[in-house]
Amino acid sequence: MDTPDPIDAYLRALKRELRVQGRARRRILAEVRAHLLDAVEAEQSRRAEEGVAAQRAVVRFGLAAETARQFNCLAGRRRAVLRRALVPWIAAVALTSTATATVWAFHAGPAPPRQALAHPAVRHGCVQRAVAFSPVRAQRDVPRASFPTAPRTRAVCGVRHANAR
Amino acid sequence: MLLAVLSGGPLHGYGVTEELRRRSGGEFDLAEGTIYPALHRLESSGLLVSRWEVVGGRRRRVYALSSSGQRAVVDRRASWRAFRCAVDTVFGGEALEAG
Repeated sequence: MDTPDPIDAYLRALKRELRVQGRARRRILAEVRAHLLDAVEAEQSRRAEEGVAAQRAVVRFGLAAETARQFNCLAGRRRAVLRRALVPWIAAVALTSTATATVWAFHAGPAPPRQALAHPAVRHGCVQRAVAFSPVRAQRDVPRASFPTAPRTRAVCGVRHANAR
Repeated sequence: MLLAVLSGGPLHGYGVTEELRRRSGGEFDLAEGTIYPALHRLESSGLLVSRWEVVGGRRRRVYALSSSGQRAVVDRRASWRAFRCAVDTVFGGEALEAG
């Protein structure tokens, strides 16, 4: 069935006013359209002409702005409920992540030896160079016998070794 | 009231407004658009369930009472009866005083 003009205009106005998105929006528009077409059919069965029937159906449905306002309120309430439910979860996940990261940081291995930290590359803040000299590279380039320590310590000592060369 | 109307069986939105008008003898002639937010709210609360059905060649959203909706109808009928009884008693008392 083609949608009569007053119904098209009504649905356009409702679309403009609705602040509901996605599937809910499509559902509202489809339900309202089906309702208005039912109402037109009912009016026509009472011998009204199609244009008049559509106009009456729209009038009986109520203002598009008012209908949209009620749906918008409902959606707003749903969003608020969802926010109230989600915020504690997000906070819990953030807290757990922070706690886990802190524990890992303390269990990552022994601190580098004092003489390695005293190296000019470290003292002058050549952090990028120290980072670039990763534990993997330390494993490969730095003789194991020279720095018989954990990979992280070898990485820092490796900076010193590389600079000395 | 919407729950009571749907206690007679599943209906689509237009059917709900027609049935409400019929049952109330035309007293409840609401702006029809107002029933949809109410139906959606009742569905969110778990008192109604709905699904798309093709009726007369057109897709319509059909609403029905859920099991908790059926319990709610029974509860609300009971509380309405109690309220109506109380109001009748009060008005009856006024009528007696006026007489």
